[in-house]
Amino acid sequence: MSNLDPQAENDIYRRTAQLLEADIANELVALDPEQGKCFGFNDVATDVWRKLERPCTFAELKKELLADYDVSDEECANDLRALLDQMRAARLIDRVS
Amino acid sequence: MHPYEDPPGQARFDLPCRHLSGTCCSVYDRRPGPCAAFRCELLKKFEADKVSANEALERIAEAKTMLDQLYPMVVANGGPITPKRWGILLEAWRSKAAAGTATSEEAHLVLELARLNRFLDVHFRSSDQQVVKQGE
Repeated sequence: MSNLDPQAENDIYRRTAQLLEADIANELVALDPEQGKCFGFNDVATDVWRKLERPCTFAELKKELLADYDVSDEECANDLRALLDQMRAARLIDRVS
Repeated sequence: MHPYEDPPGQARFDLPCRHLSGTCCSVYDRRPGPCAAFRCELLKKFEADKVSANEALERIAEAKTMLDQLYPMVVANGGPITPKRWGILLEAWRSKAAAGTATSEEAHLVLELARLNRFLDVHFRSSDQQVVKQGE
């Protein structure tokens, strides 16, 4: 089981950056013209970025990833939290509590 | 060949090598030791039976197609496709983007170069040679 509190599970994430994107197999490279930054997304980050085309709660994202990947609930929650934090730090998304 | 230091402390030779003829080495039989010893990650995987010959050839063909498509754009922007040149173009674009003067054509070139470099990172370069990091 995830150790996240129910409030964190209901946090909503949404895109804040408009990226120029190019696909490479299951991955993505992207430019943020406003920040002048270039990003390489691995397959999981690409999945999460695409799911965030519309705002999603943490719980929704986790549920969809659990359906797609063979991973425990706790590992999924921890990795997803780390990825979302990384995306927030890069100013690609924000969180609405 | 002109050696340069990039990153600091790591001596390299400027590319492309003047002995490169198309996609072949014109001095293959008497090439320098470091060239003879070099193995890209794809070749290492092939030699370790982790990738089939067909898969390896497909990856090489994909990389060559991307290079061929990009080559005219890169030449028009003043240089060969090397990690060093990629860094220079990225920094130039960043400066222009920060000043709000970058054009959509420049962004397109940087994006396509990022795509190529990421492909080379994933299939050909070792982790210490990779140039497109997450969140770069």
